[in-house]
Amino acid sequence: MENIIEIKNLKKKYDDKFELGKIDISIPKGVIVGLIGENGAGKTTLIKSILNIIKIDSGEIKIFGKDYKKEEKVIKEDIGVVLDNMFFPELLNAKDINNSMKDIYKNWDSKLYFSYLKEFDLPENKPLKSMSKGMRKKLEIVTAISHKSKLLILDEPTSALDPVVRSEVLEVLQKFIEDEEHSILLSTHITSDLERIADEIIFIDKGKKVLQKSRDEIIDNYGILKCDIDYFSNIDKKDIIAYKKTKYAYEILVNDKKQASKKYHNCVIDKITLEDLMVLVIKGEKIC
Amino acid sequence: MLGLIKKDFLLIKANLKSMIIIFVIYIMLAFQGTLDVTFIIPLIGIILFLSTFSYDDFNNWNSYAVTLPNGRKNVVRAKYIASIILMIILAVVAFSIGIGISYIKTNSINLDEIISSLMGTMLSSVIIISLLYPIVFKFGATNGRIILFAVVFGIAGIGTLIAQFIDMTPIINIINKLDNYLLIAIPIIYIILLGISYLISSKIYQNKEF
Repeated sequence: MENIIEIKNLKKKYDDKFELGKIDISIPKGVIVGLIGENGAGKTTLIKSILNIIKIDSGEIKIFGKDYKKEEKVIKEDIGVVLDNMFFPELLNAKDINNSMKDIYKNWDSKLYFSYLKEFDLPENKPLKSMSKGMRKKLEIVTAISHKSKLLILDEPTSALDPVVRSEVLEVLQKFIEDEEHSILLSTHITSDLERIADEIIFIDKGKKVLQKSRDEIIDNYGILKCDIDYFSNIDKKDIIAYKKTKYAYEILVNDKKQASKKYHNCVIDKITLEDLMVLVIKGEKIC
Repeated sequence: MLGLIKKDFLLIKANLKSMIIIFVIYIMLAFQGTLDVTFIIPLIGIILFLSTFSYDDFNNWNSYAVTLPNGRKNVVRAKYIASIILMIILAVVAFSIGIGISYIKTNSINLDEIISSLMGTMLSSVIIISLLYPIVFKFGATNGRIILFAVVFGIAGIGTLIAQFIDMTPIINIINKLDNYLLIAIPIIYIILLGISYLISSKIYQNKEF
């Protein structure tokens, strides 16, 4: 399958506090990829590097098979962007944004834009500063999908939205990739959103990629093995990815729950959510 | 790039409403004779335009603008071109009002005086823009203005110092000789100053992180 984003050996250092180290990522066409990780793990740094908002120290980034710097102009015609901070000048209104954008993107579709405004109940003439945070975020998302982009790069697009609007936005995103030509890379804290729509999950921790797997693979194969404190020593260390001790039991992250349930009859195996996975990997203890 | 120029003018339009009272007062003062209209109107332009930089910074616009097609180049270009367009519009406005005031007051039109005063103000506007924009692109709108003051006072101070120790008559002579060619010389000076300033700003913006 053709890759829409390919990152090799990406490195970016911010003074001494933070470093994005040796990241390799490839994102295939036609999928929604969710980027997860705790605050400060490097999600925004990674997204800003891909978009050339910040300069990387070393590494190679290719988007649509083209070098992200040499062919930046062509590439960016086809990318829709939502950043973590609000970014439209607050004195402008939705109409003003249409007026500017139609001369910025070659493929800007005013008709589509205004139909999205209606769909999301966004006012045309109200300045952004008197809109709510959620409305402004919606407007940013609408802008990102109104120029026939092939790739959406979204940094925390749904975190300011209420559940109803979030679900509307997720539907729009799912529609966006329906034709298998489009792809989405989105970072979020709201892991339940990703359980709904993501095809693949990339998990970043402390500037390093911890895991990249399909959502189904994670949900089907990973699990939380729960056993009491005395039994813990019977568990093969190779099976433990990370574990957490609670008051009466151990919670162990395993990556093959079928095998684990055969091997350890005395234990219960729970289904895993992305949130459990994140918390256990970040906060849990590791043996090796 | 046209889109970015539009964005700046839309911002100015939205901002104009909140500043209209100040401008009316300025223009009334000009009619009354306290202020020279050919001086005040181009200055208003700079104030208005600087506010677009402030809004850009305040709303994190630049981090988004660089993700637009050819964003890093176009942002800088659009700022310079939009400022030049605004200056030309305001020069025409100032010129017309200047003629109006002159006619109402003296029943005659002193064209020479209006043109030379306008040329002078435009030159100072161009100098301010050329100095200020690279600084603002480098340090942001708020810090940039403070640094500009430091630079201007610094240059003025050093200039005065130099003038005390070195005989400036040859330079003054050159300027006096140029006087005859001012109508040609001044536009060339505008272009050179803005050109150099633009190149520096582009270089700064090309490597900036947001």
